[in-house]
Amino acid sequence: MESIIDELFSNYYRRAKIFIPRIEEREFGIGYDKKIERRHLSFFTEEALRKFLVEEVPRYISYSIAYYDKPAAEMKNKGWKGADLVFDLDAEEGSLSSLKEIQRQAAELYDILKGEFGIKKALRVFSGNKGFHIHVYDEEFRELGSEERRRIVEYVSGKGFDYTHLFSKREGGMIRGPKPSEGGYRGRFARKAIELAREQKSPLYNFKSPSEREAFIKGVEEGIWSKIRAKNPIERFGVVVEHLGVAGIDVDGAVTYDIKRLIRMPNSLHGSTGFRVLPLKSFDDFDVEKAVAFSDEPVDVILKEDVKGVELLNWKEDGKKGEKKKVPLYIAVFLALKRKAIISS
Amino acid sequence: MHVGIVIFKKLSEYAKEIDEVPYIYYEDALDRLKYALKAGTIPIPKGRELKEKEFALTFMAERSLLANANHPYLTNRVAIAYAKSIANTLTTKELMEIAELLGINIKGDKIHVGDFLRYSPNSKDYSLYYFEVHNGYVKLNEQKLRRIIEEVIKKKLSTQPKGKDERIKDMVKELLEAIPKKKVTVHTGEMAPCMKELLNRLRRHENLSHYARWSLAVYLINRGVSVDDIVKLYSALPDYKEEITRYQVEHIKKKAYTTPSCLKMKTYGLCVAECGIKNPMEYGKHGKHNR
Repeated sequence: MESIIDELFSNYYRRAKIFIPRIEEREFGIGYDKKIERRHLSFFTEEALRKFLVEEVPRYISYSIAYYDKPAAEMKNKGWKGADLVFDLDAEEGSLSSLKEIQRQAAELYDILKGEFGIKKALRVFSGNKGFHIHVYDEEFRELGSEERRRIVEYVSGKGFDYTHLFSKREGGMIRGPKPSEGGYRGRFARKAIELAREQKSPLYNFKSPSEREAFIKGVEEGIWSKIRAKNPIERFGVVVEHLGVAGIDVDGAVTYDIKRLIRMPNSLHGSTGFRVLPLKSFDDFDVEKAVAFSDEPVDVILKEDVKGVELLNWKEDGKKGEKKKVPLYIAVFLALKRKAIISS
Repeated sequence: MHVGIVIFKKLSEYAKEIDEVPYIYYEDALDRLKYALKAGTIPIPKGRELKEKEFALTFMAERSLLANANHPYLTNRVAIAYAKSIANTLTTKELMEIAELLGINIKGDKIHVGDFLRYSPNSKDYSLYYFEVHNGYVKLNEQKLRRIIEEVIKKKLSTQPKGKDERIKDMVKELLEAIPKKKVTVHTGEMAPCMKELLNRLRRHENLSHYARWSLAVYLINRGVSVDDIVKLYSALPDYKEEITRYQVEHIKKKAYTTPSCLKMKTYGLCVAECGIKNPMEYGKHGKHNR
């Protein structure tokens, strides 16, 4: 491919901030046409890695979430010592709205990991294409196997959640259930139920009077759910699940289960877009434009196919196949990497 | 002091004091192991075992017998017997003490979510959904904590001890002869590599996970193996109980489950080859496969 892109990438890596915890224990993998073409590479220092990136200029660089005794050895001799807990959320398509939705889910996942799983050291990144990653470094999770990690993914996805398990029937028709002050799904369920009970036309139950409503709410606050005249109260509480909203964080489970996975290096460039794999302070203030790595200096390109703007980058110009155009450098790189254009200057 | 606490606290101290466990302790140890093998629980200490140090020496002799016998069924069966007996007889206070001795991250009635995921049984009753999960800790009642402690002890004691001692050759022989022998041949034709692996692990008496047991049973049922033969096969499991096994295998047959896909097998870390198929049932159906 065009040497101008090699030059741009190489220049980027000359100055890029490279920060990889325990770099010497990780395996690296690189690719030119796809994510991984060579693996079992290892680097002792960040400077050695930088030198490699500046000279070899791979389009894709990833490292193992796992720590090894011998990261460059073949798989069975590496000596697995643990792995970061990693989550990968990918938008279904490259559109802005799809990315926004996955961004919202990533933020929610991060909140659950922090509030419920108690994680303290985590890196949030934009994946450089159409998704987000969360790398959890906390020691307590490092040695979890695939099966344990699968259970975490299941928990955040909400799959198989059966709310009736939150309730138990006691003598005299008393129903015990979760309290709003509790953590996890229990507390979330109770808080949502109270919220629904407070609505004027409550989907939970047609309360006959304000005092009836208050009595129910007060009961729930203490974990007693039977202060309601409904016939089958537990059945009725099913409506809460529909409003819960937390169920359904769509994590790519295969990434989390795989304790030897190679994951895109934060702050590297994504070879399909030219975007930075951007570390984020918060999922809320992310904007694709912040991941742009190159300037807006105009350059000439020759289009290899019809182009109708780049929605992600809010670039709205069209062009026909064979046309010569002046476009900002970062657009040129994006189009060139998508094989839609050739940079000619 | 509870035997569990002696094992996980005092044993290393006593082990430092002595070079070699005196021969007399081996006789008690052999009796105790034969009992555990048969009953699935450990006998209550009696006679000299009632003294802490004496019990410790007997336990060391047991470990040495297990090391010399070097038989996974034996080791696993005894581990389960100890785990169950200890977990069910500790007082609440001792339960907390042993949790700490075992290195479990516990704060009051809460256990760290990592340890919860590692040690809790993979069943609906232990699905995280139904627990209070806050700030990295899962709130447990005592009964569930006991179950988790049981699992931890089982894992610790099922590591095969190593060592060789010529003095106890005859005892080891006697112990090995006490292992129930039920050889079953299952004619399954050509089995998918993952299932063959599970079958081999079963025959080595490994304590297969619930999902592994379930997958293999579903697969065998779908290949036309009888419930009786599967139950016999599963008697190799160190925690085998005929009644429960039969009930579960019959349930699988009644429900006519489909064999889990290759993707599922991969997810559970049970896939061992690249066969180029989507479900283990397809293996061997369309001629040759890669491996």
